[in-house]
Formats: sequence, structure tokens, C-alpha cells
Amino acid sequence: MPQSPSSEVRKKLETLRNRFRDKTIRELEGLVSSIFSASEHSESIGELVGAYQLFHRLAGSAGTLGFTQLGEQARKLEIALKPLADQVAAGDDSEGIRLQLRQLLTTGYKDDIVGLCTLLDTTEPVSTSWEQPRVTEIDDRAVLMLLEPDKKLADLISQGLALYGYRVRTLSSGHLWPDNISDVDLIMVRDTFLQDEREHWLSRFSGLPVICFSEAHDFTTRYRLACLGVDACLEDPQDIPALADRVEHLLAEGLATLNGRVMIVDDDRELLEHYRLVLTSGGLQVRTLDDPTDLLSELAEFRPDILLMDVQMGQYEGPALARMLRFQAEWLSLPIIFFSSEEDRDLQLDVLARGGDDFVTKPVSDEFLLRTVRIRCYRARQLGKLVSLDSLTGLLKHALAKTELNREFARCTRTRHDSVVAMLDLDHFKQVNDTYGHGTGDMVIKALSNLLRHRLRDTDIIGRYGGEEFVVVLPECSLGKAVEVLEALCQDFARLVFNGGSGEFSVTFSAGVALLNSYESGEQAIEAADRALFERKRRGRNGVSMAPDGGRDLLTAN
Amino acid sequence: MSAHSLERILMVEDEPDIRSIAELALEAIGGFELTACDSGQQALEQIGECQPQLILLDVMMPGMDGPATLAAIRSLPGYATTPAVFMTAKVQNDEVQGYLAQGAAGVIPKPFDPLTLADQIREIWNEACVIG
Repeated sequence: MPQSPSSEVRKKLETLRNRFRDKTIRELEGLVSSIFSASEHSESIGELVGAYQLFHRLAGSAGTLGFTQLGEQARKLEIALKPLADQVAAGDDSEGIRLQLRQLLTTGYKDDIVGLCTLLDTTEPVSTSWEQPRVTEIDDRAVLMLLEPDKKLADLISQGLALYGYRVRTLSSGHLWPDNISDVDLIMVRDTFLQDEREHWLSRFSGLPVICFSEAHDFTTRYRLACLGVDACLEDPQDIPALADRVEHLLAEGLATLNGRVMIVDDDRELLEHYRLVLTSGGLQVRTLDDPTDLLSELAEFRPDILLMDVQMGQYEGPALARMLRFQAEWLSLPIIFFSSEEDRDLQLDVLARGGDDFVTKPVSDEFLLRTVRIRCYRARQLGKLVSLDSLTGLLKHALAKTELNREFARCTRTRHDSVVAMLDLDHFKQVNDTYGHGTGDMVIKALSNLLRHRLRDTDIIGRYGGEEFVVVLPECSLGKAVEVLEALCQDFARLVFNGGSGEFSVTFSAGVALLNSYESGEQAIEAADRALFERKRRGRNGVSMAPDGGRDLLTAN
Repeated sequence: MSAHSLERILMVEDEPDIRSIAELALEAIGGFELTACDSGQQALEQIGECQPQLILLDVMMPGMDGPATLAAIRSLPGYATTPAVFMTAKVQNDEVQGYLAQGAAGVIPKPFDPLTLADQIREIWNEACVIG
């Protein structure tokens, strides 16, 4: 995972960049004069080769040193000059090349070259452009931008969401919109800010998830909000658990798109490498395969969200491979998309009938490929979640949580690390349901799920075990650390205020923990954690109890 | 996952700016042991001392270019299968095919992001270990 560079590293980056700027200014001066002299005297035409090489070098290096625009412009000029440089290298007639160069210079090339130097001034400062890692860090706290005119409400929302681990930046007016919002992950905005769609800062929304606070229910208003790119509409943002739930969902969707996993099978290695570069640069994880005979083992290893395949690969037919994959229940739901240069609709339908999901017609543009793959990955994840996740909480269902627990049990006994299993249960939950109704009860369950998902690590396993009971597995974690983490969660959860219609209330939960690797099976560990949970309930709830000595003495007692 | 982790990298890059920034990206940020050479010739001289687990090569260099350097390294005893990664400003199909034919484990397009270069390398390394 990319890390923010230390201040020392940043300082060094800055030094390198200044050095690069000084040097490049001199080089560009030389470049301008050599291109002009080549355009005047055919005997100087050889200088074009050096000019071409400089463009190529800048195209590759300027972006790395923070001068993205210069790099892109140099690439453009490099490509335009290449035919001439090739002719020089081939020893073609100098006068002929000189005339072509003059022609090129009259079509704006001259201004472009002269303008290169000014691109050395247009950079973002090191501290912002290099501090932001390109990939979103999952365990980094998400930053939410809040535009709410009611100061009191804004404070309430900020404090409430802080309990869920979010950082909230508040603005009381769109005109205070800061220039740099590259660290913002989501926007929450009151609908009154969205009335004038000519506001210049509205364009900043693009790409970010937006939650709008609006009490309007009429078609016209809602349609307009949708047109502006609003993703969710909430009537009552004071209901913090409900708000946190929407935030959580919207952020998770963004992440799933970022981390999509794609496998591509094509016997054209050149094309395969190109696809890999395009998709990798778009933030996807890519595994390429040029030999279909390795397909099954590679699939099992990489477990992609979607599979892209050519229709014909040497002696192998894509549709037959798709059908073969469908033999295994495991790959029944894997979306398979074919690359096909075949525009015959009948043939395509035939292929779909045999186990494919869709077509992309070759040749496919880089942008189209990236977008299509992103959307497919996202959809695949959503569908996959529906199957394996609890519909209310978005946590793993009972059976799947147990499978994951057993997997971790096998892993921790094999590699001899400590892992912890915890059972959690909401206190006096029946009373909540009886007093405020099941709808409110569900909200409490969701609130705890969101808190767990947001505050635990991405690698932790969280499942809804029963009605108000949860199971959590913390791989590579000591018993002491687990107790510390869960106790902090107990305290923060108790501070959440729920609105039950007939009044506000809070709920607590209890937990029991046991050391997974102290037992002979995952099942035994769960039972021990359950006993510890029962012990906690008996001793007053709202807290965490450990299985006796984490369970080690139980083994010796047996 | 890979049985052994990547520590030593040999880089061949003629451009001093890129060399310094890659040093920063791979040593200070990535935590690797990096030997940076300014030419293929120098790489051949220093490879014995460095004993790299992975080789990072610029494609376009005066004199011995990246592919030629890799060919020379491949002919040395012990480096027939060392994963090699090319860095290039030109990511075009016909070129990429040539690099892969030479047994390159990956191609990193220039300009690269100094903050994620180490991650990209680590990813290619892991993949090379799984496949290799």
C-alpha cells in the first residue's frame, strides 16, 4: 500500500524537481535553436535527432517529477517529429526533410515548442500532489465534506459521524469551497445549496458520491437532484445511524470499483499486455493468461470478479471454455465477457447461449475497455454480495462466516500465529424491539454492523450470526489487543443516540473472546467465546470477557 | 505468495533525474536495496556485487539499450530467469511484444508515480513468483 512520504522524502523530491526544472530550461533553449536552425539550413538537419530524443526523454520523465503537462506536451511533439527523425536516421534527402519541417512549424508546432518553457511553471506544490496516494487507503479515515447552513445541525452531524470514524469538514456556504478537495471522499449537501445550478463549484461534485439533505418529495425536485449527480437523498440527517449507513454504502461502492479484479485470456500476448497496462493504470487488479490450458488453476488462484476472453484462441474456442467453466458450480456466476471482431449478431447470440455473458466488439478503445470493465466488476460484486451477505447488515451470513472462521483456523494453526474469535450480542435487545418496534430494532443492528465494519480492519471477518448476535474473527491479533479494540467499540457504541419516535435511547453490547489457535477446531473456539459472552452478560453486560486464559488451560484440562 | 521477499534490485537508467527519483522511490519509500547504474556496461560490472533478485531497465539508452543489456545479463551464469522489468515512455503494442519475448516480467510505463513505483514492482515480483 502506498505510504505518505516523510517530510525528509518530500524535501528531497522538491530538490530533485528544482534541479530538473533548471536543467530543463537550458535544454529547451538549446532545443528551440536547433530546431530553428534545422529549418533554415539543410546541413543542420541532423540536430532533429537530438531534439526528438529530448522530447522522448521529457515525455517519460517530466510527469514523474511533477510536471505532468510538460510531459504530455512533449509526448505530442515527440510523436509529430518522429517521422522526420526517422528519415534523418535513414539518411534521406536533407532538403526534403527541411521542407517538411518548415511545413510542420507553420501548423502551430512552432508555438508549441516555444511554449514548452512556460509549462515548467505550472505544477502543483509537492506537498499536495505527491502527498496523496493514488489508491484509496482502506484503513485511512474517510473525509466527508458537509454543506449545511444550520450550524447546530452541522455540529451534531459532525460529532455523530466522528463516532463512526469519519472525519467531517464543514462549510456554511458553497462560496467558501476550497480549491483543493482531493482528500474528500464524499459530499453531504443541503438542497438549498443546489438551487442555482450555474454555481461554479457544483462541477466539483463530479466523480464524488453525493448525499443530499432534502425534505422535498415532488418529482421535479428529485429529478433535478438526480440530474445534478446526487446519489442519495435523506430527509432527516439528524438520524445519524441512518446517515452513517448511507455513507458507508456509497463509500464501499467506490472502493469496490477501485479494487476490481479482472482476468484476461487471449493468445495474442501483445494485445494482452496492452490490456493489462490499460486496466492496471485504471486501478484494477489484472491477471493475464495466454494459454487457456492453465485457466482453471489460474482462476482458482486469482479469483477474479470478471473474466474477459477472446472468442478464438489458437485451437481453443472461447465459448467452449466458458461452457467448461460452467461445469463447476464455483464458476457458475462468474461473468464472462468475450472480445469478438465478429459483428454477426446470430453468432454472438449463439455464443451467449453457450455460457458467455456479453460481448465487446474489437477493436476496443482503451477508455471503453476500462469503463466497461469497471462497471462489470462493480455489478459482479454487488450480485456476489447479494448471495453471500446478510441483506440487513451487509455482513457475512452465518454459514459463510463459519466457513471463513474455519479457513482462518486452518491458517493460524499452520503458521502458528495468534488469532482471536469474538462473539458479540446486543444487550436487552428484546426491550428495544418491544418498546420502539422492529424497524427501530433493525436500525440498531445496522448501526452496530456499520461500526464494526468501519472500525475493524479490512482483513477481519465479520458475520451476523443470529438475530442480534455477531461473530468477529481477528486474524493475527493477540487476545489483549482484541479486548482493547472491542472495549473501545463498546464505549463508542454506547454513546450513539437512537431516535425511537417516542424518545431517544442508547444501546450497549457485550462480547466474549477466545484465542482461536488454542482450540482443536473453529467450532470449539466459538463455543468458548460464547461461554465468555454469557459470563459477561451475567456480570453486568456492556463490556468484554475473555475465555479463561484464552482457552489454553482448557486444552490441558481435557 | 512468494516464498522469499524481494530485497535487492539492480536498476539501469541513463537519466540522472530519473535515477535519483527512483532511488528515492525504491529505497526511502519502498525499503529495497537498490544498485543504480547509468549504463548497461556499468550494470554488467556491478551485477556480481549486487546479486539482484530483480532487474529494472530503461528501454531507450545510448550505447547499450535496455533489451541489449538484458540479453547480456541473461548470458551471465545465474541470471537466466531473474525477473526483469522494462521502463518505457512508449507503451505501444509492437514494442511490448518484443520485451515480453525477451522474458520480461512486466513493463512499467513512464512517467511513473514515485509514490507507487515500489508497489508496482512488488506486484510484478509477486506475480512472477507465482507463475515462475
